[in-house]
Amino acid sequence: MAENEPQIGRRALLEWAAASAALAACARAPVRKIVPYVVQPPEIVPGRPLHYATAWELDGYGMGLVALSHTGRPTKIEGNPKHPASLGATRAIDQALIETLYEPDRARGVESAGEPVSLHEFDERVAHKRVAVLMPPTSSRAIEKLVRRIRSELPGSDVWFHTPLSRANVWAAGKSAFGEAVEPMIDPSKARAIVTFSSDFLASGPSCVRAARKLADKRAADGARLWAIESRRTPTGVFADERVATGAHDRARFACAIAARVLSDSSASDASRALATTLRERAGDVDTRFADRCARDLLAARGAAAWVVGDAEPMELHALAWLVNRALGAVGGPIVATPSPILEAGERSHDLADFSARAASGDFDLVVIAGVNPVYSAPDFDLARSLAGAKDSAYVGLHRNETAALCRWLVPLAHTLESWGDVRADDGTGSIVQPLIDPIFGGITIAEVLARVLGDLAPSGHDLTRDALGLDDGAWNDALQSGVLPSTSSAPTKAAMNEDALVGLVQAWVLPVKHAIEIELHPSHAVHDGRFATPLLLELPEPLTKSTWGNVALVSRATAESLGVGDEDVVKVTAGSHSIELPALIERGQPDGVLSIALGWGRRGAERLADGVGANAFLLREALEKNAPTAIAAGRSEPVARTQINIDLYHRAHEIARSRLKSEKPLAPDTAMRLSLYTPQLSPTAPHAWAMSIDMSRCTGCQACVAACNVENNVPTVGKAGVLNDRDMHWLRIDHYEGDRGVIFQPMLCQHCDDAPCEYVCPVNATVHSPDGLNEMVYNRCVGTRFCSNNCPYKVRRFNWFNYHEDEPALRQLEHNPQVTVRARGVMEKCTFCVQRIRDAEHVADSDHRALARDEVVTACQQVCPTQAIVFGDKNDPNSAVSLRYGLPEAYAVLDDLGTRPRIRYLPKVIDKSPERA
Amino acid sequence: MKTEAVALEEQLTNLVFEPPKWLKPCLIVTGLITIQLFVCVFYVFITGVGTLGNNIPVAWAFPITNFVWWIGIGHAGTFISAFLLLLEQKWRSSINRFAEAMTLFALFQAGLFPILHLGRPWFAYWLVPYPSTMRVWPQFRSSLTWDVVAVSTYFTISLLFWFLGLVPDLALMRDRARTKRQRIVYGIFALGWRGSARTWQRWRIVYGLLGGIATPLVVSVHSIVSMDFAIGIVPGWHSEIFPPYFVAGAIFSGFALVLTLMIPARALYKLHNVVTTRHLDLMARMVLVTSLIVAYSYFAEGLAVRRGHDPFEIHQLFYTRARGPFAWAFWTTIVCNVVLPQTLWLPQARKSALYLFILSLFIQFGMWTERFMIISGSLSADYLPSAWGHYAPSLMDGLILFGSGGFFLFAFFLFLRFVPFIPIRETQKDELT
Repeated sequence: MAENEPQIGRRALLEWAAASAALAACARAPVRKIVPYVVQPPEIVPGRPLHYATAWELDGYGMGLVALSHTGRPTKIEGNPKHPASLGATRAIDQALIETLYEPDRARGVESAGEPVSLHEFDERVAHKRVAVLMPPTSSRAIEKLVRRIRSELPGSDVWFHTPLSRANVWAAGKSAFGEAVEPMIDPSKARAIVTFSSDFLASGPSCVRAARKLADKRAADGARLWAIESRRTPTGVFADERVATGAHDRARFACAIAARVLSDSSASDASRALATTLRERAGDVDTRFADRCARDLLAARGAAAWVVGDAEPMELHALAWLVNRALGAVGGPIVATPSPILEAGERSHDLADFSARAASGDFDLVVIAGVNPVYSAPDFDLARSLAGAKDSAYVGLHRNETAALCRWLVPLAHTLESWGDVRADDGTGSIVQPLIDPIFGGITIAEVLARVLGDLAPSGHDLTRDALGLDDGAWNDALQSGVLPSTSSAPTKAAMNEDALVGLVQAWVLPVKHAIEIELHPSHAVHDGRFATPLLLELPEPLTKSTWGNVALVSRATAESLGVGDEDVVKVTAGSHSIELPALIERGQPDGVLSIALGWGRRGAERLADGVGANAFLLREALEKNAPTAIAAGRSEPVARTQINIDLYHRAHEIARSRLKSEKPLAPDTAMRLSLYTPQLSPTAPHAWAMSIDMSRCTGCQACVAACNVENNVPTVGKAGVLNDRDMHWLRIDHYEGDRGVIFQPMLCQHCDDAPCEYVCPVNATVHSPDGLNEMVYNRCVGTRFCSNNCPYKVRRFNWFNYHEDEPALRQLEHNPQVTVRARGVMEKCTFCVQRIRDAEHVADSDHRALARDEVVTACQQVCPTQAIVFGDKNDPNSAVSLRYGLPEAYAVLDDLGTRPRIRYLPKVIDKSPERA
Repeated sequence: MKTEAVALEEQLTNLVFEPPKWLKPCLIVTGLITIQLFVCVFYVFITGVGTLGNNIPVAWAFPITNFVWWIGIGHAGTFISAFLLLLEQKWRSSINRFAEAMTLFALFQAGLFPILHLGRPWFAYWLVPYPSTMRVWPQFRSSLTWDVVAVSTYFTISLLFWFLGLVPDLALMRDRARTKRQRIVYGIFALGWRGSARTWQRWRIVYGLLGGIATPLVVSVHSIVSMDFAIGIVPGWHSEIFPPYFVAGAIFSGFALVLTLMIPARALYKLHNVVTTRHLDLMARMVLVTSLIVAYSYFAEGLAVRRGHDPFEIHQLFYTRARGPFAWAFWTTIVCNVVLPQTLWLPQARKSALYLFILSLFIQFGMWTERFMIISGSLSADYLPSAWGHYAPSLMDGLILFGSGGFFLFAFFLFLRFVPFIPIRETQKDELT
């Protein structure tokens, strides 16, 4: 019997006792039910994102996108390779769509006078009434149809369009030239010489992604010299081979000088030649050597030379550009005269003053402002008075912003990722906007607002779009899948250029007055016109100054001295009765006497993060038309949160950021012998060797990669105080150096060194090497000694000083990429080469029983880069894209002498100075 | 002869049994500062190291500087007790316990900082080689792992050495105790010491052995601490001279601290017969010698860098350090550690207790700025100019450094209150024979 008794020894008894005690001590975990799909949709595999082609419009111009959705939740935006404005890449702003979707401060329901009401009440208020609608410019066919119907069916109602960053001057010049609102569309692939006048056409605007890509490709293929005549340094200006800094007055004179040379030399008409004489007089004593060189370069490239003029430049300069482009034979070549895709471009309905006057007149039962924020961006139009004068007012938008605060009704607008619609790119190519998620807060689209005005009380964005596009099922589905409507791009205008009208315009041109102080207002690279108040963009560094969380007044050193200010000293800028105060930054390449200030800051809306950050430069805009501005030191300082302060190379150009003139012979490769006491720790049998190549000649510094990396990798933002204390978390940053031959942008990220100095100093094995060459970070193992960061010569490691995700609203949490760990407090993090994408691709290939295809893995930064400056891939494959660049003789490793053997190699910046200069 | 011995015995035990009036307020004030320290530490633990001023690139700043400084300060204790014991320097006996206690309490402070500065301090034990179920060991190539071994060894040996030296005196305290409670408590710690010739003989052997073990630690601990920097790639850290340079600096600052503590104690307890001017003179000579070694190290480091032609190191030493934003630390270091100690060539300076006291404060400040300059200054500007940054301590940094000073003094006052801080038996033996 005794043998059959359970043998519980002393140890076992204690173990059982301990286990029971532990079980008894366990509190019941809070119950959180996860409801699985009852019937799982066939297309959804948990853990695998779905890709949907969609598009959105910014100021009316479409950008084709591919949105990633994880179990019904959009988490990432990528470019659509088939879309002409995207070619697979995007701008930084496009990346922030995910953040604006999950913005916790979004309007959450229909309100009337602050009380929640049902949408139905709004429907009744709006249907068949006399309604004035103000909305952003649009290229949507669906909206075009609705606007036409409103104009014909409801004579008492009307529609206006407004954006703070209007292209009115472009359209006006186009109208003079062709009788319709024609836009000059630049195709750099056909250009050998381009002159820009304050145009940041490579980094902002509707076609910047395509233009940057084509110019970079063209440069790499057979060269295209870019000349920039601009105020502040823009990414385009520093991408240029030749640049001159001017105020508006001198820029106009430069234009006159160059145009005079071009027009008198080319086989232009008598009128043009007569104009050349006038222009030569107007040009006066402007730097003639520069103008000579520039004009010679243009004329030498006749047929492949073009002028590009910034949207904010005077209408007469746009007109002159048409004349010059024609004289250079550019029209039909690198410049395509495309009818604007924007509805009623250049017409009266785009005039805010007209809307303001009409709205105030009381002719309307209801004034609806949808998706624009004129109370903030056009303070001089006194919309407060117009809205007060209107019988009733409604705001349809994403947030209760400055305009919403003055309207009685607040109706949530559907986010573009929640909407059906259609857009057209700058070249006219149409795309369907398809929703990825039901409106989170029950928002409606602008098209649906217009339909309601027409009495359709249950409009469907889907039906409105389909009706307007008139596609059959097959075409509709194809368009949804590819993201573009085939062969919808606009043909170049057939109208002949009205040269006389243009000559007349230019003859009558009164050049901008030269003031002692000039203010250049420009859209913020990050927050655009202020509508993007998301953490990602608020903390996105401006390309050159690297300032975040606010705007600054850029001044030249001489101007700063005359004003008696230094870096971060506040200046008070006054125009007319308005004045703003903001800190100054001394910027190289800034023309004397010109203060450049970004628009889009100083918001006072519902977006808490942006509230009161920076100064609202829109206050000055109207006043500047009539008044000479003044600037004085305010006698105090305000810190500017910059992610990079030191831009000098301290004679380290060769080790860090190489550059050369195109005329110089290629730089010699590094041939130093690397001796090591250690055996290489990399596995020779690993099937792949991941590596990256970055071509600094292609980098425009546009920050799209920084934004994409943040979204892809759940990188937290740290706020102004964090940036001021050098705690910004960007895994990828774009370093800006003043090289011997000009500005160099150097994207800097973890170099994944074969002999990584971070690895041997970690006491707990938290950073280790993978067989395929990744420097891996094991968050769970990290205790946070930060020795790895100290020992990283590239300083690309980022530390979670606090729990940055601790107080994240539930809505914000939806934006996280589920394939990337959200890091907790106290651990180090850094670029992983998008390891989740590598492993995902490997798993997919594995389950398909095939080898990984060549260049199948694409990192987020590579994917979004407009110019393909970043190439990633397998170094073991001699024909992969990365191998082709990695092996170039000029490819070099940053800080090669340290023997870290990085997996990233850079190609030097090559600058093509004009021959006389070089 | 005997009466003289008994008189000394009485004088020294009475220091404990009849504590001076000033001791209680000192204990209260430093006790409060200690509480403040732990409140701050708790706050940092629950909120995150972001409450300190550290950033990227300056990921190591006040905590690591304080760590190295406190460890260095501790060195003099071991040096005096172990090195001088082996060299049979009899003058050491009146100051050695003082110095050893200082070592121990400085190590308390030092041990606090590496844990405090961790991102996840609750996992600090991962740096210790223990048989984890995950079978993950610490990474032995990292000097931080060596640090754990070096410092914990040092602490253990220091504690044993100090306590073993204390045992005969604790027995004396037990025998002379005035209350029952004193007798019991001192009796427990006296470990049944009887003072027989055989006990004394064994004690002498063990004490000598421990001294022998402790002696290499004087050199090894700070050598290894210096390797936290020397094995790094950072210009200004990566230098072969660091181990001897740090050891010399440690002993330098340690002797200065002995002076800082000994001189007021001597005045307050009226111990001029025990800690004589000769003691001060000898310690001042040690300070002078180590100052010269430190000065030579500065010179040699500069020379090596200048001859090495590494542009990053040259920039680090001759621009960032000497002329950059951390120049104040550099010049303070030079003045405090090199210039001022040269006054000790004058015999009058070496014999003036007040002068030595003031000088010792300057030296400690100088040694702190030296470490700060090396650690944070070098990090603030290393390879890529784009990543250069600046560092400003937070309020919490200041409070914790202040608090650790208070905690150190609190421990020290407790030591003065309860333990015979002049080795009675040793002094009897050395002074009276």
